[in-house]
Amino acid sequence: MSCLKVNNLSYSYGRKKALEDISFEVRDGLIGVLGANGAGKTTAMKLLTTLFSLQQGEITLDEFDYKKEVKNIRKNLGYLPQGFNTYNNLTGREFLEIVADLKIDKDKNFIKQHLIEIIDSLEMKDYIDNKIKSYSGGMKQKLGFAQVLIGDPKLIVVDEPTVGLDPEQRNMIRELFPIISRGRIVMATTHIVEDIEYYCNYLLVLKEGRLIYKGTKDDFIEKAKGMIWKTKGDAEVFQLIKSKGEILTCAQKGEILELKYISKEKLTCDSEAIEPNLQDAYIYYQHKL
Amino acid sequence: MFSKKLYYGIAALAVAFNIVLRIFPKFFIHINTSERNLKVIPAALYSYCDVYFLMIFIVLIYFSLGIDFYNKMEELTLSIGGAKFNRYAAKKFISLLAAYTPLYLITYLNIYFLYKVMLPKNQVLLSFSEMFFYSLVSNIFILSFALFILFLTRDIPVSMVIITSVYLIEEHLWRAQITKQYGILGHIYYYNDSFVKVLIIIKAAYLICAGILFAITLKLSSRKNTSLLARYKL
Repeated sequence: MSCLKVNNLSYSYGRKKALEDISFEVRDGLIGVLGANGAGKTTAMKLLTTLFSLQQGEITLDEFDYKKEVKNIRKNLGYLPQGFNTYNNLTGREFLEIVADLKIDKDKNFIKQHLIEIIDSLEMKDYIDNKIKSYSGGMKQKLGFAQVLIGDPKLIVVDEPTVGLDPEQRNMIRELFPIISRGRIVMATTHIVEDIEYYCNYLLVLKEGRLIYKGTKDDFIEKAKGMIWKTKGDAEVFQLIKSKGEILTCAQKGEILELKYISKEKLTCDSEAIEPNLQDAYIYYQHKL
Repeated sequence: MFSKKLYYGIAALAVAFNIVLRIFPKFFIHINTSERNLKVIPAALYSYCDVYFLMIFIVLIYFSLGIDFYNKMEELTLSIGGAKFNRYAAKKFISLLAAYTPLYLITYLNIYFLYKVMLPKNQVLLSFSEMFFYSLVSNIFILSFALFILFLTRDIPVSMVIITSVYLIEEHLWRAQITKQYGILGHIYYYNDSFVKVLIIIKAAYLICAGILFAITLKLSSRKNTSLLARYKL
């Protein structure tokens, strides 16, 4: 089982602090990194993937230190960057061969077999020999997921994997998480909570460069219990709730508005407490601090 | 890929140029036959091999390596490459160099032997080893400088403008007019009043500079640094 330890990690762009004193320790499984745009997710991922040098703090992956053993860290990494794109004139297989050539120091037959296994496991056989320029957004992203598996890395970093995809493609990509997170650490950053809702075991939540939550998904949701309410009302009720709480959803049913909101106490007599989901808990955390 | 097509284009151009050079040598190589007992500096050799041909090769390098700054390949290959530097970019550069070297050598030898044939008996050409050493230093230095500029700016058009201004225009076409004012010798030229030993020291200094530039380029390629241009919003 692999272990990624981060201690007192800070990073600045000039005077602007992007990350401040972040510490966590994670093991195999899907780790969701949630945060609004500009929260520092991508900076954290650039540090974890060795693209940026460490300014302050320490990171270790098993026995390898990020400051001293960059080469070994890079041998054990898989990375899918945000907005992944590559040479469109190559076929998917040719692209995977380029990545395999960099990552695997074994003979051609081994590489060929390894790629076939990955292609089969992600069900890409039908289009892997087509040019990448003919791929849809979802297919390109799937190719990105295929390349992260090459060389069986200990740590996979996936940055905003579903941005720019339609709902169907997003579902397809989410279904890949249980496949790629078997027996390794997968860090997936996103600001779309549904992306990781079903498969993540552990959560890291960033806000303005600080880590505001680290722990299991269930604990995260548990902390929002008793804070999420639903009620029905008119425009007046809507204004009341808006001024005192945080509206999560509002649906119009005829003349009546059905409202779901966050508040420490119920704001109308007929409000009912409901079970929060991950999205509700995330919004609760974002407004709590 | 564009760079692959560009390479085929350059290879075809180099072969065509060498054929035309063989057919019409006097059109490309000008020798002053009136001077006697002169050590001939093969200016055409430097112009074609060390300037024009090298500049075309640099364009090829810029498109092949620089394209990765515009997609996600640099980030991807750097983080998974299993090396302290960008192994993928280094591999690409070595492949390009392997493709360029035969084209360069064919052109170089073609021009050299044409000089041999065309020179009158009272004129002497510089020794092959001396000429080749000077040419090699020029190529190594300019390549290291071109790579350094590319990895510093991470911008193909900007790098192209800089290398064209510095090397093609200032050093070759203007005969190093600007740097000469500050006592810096244009490295592709011979100085008739200098001894071979002095010239070798100058070339050695350029080789050391090239080594330093290569080392800095490797360092620059080892992380996803934002370019200086972006950092200072130029």
